[in-house]
Amino acid sequence: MDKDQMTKKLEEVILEVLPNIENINMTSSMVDVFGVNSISLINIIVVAEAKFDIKFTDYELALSAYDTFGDLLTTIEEKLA
Amino acid sequence: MEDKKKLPVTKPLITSWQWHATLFSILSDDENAKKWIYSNYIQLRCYDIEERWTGDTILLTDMMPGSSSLKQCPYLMFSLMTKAQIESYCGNIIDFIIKTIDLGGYVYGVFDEAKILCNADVDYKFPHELFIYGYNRDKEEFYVGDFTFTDKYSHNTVSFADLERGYEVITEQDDHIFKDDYKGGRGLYVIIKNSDVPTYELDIELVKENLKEYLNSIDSKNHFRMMRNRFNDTTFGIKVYDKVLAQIDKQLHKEEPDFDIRALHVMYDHKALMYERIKYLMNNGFLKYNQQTLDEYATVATNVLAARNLLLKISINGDIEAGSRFKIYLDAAKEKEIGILFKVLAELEEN
Repeated sequence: MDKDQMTKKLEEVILEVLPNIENINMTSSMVDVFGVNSISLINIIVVAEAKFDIKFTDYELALSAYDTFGDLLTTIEEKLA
Repeated sequence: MEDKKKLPVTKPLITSWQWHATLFSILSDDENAKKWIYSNYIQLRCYDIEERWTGDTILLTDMMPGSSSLKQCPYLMFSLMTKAQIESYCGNIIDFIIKTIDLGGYVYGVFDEAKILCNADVDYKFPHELFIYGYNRDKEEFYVGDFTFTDKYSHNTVSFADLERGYEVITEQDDHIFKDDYKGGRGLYVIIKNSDVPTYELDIELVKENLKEYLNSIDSKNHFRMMRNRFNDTTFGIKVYDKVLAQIDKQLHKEEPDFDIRALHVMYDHKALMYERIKYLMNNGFLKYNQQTLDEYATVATNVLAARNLLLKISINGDIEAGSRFKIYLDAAKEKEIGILFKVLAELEEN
């Protein structure tokens, strides 16, 4: 899977959890722009684990670990490498 | 009267319960108040309580001082206004709140946050404390802080009409603050920040006493006699780790598992605040600056956060078997915290 495909798939995951998000991008603040909180982040990660067939550690569930969806994408990329 | 006014609020350093989120929304950034904040909130306690609305037994976990902190903090002026006073002075609650905010007063009280404030499709009331810090007369809405709107503590808005209805439907029996503190009645609290003049120095003796009591799981009620210390089955200090672990195990293995994260969330906030306290003590000459100690204490908070987030994750994916990892995180946090806090206490005793 190349990066564009991964990005598209992650966007689908995010929209499945947060269907009201508009103009999704990988660079804006997850919290300030898209209103992600600890619970919605973990929801996104649970869906991403299933869709990408990967596992996050419990330490990787912390909201403070990600400023943007791009950071989350990087973690997924590392797990798929 | 102005059209729009917001009293200063900041992102609270800790949230845990509404009384903490309110106090820290007002005082988190205040240098004078930090001296009182870091002298307190060291001891943890927990006890079983029957939740008012669901009837479930929950492990109520909190720092000390708890809900009395708004009254006890020397940098807040805290006034009680009965419903009769409010109606006599202002005619209605909306005008009362607006006038109070105009005079620099935050408002705090119990409202129905289910059907009315959150438009939930339920046939019961959810009486909960709401923190009101501003208004917009054009939009006819108040600026408020609470947990109920987004599942996480947040600053939000509520319309004048909803707030008034949410207040009117609460009876004396529903108003748990008045019932517990004043044996009945109904009303609101006015909170005025009063921190320009320093009146409280860091109480290093209280810090040391509380650290000893926390580390040895000793009853701290005598330091907090202003609190509602009505329970004889309270667990204090480091033993709270074991009680919370046992509670999670019980919750997860019920016929219908329960995923109440509140105890773990309070524990995480306690670690986050303890980290800031140690840093403050170092930066103000009470302890020698030691980055290694701070880094090691950060792992205590990280492990408790991993446990809290694991419980959230299990509540979503239903993977109860993953619950075996709680013990790993909480044991690691407990062992590390004991080691660091004994060293901190020894250094404070030497100085």
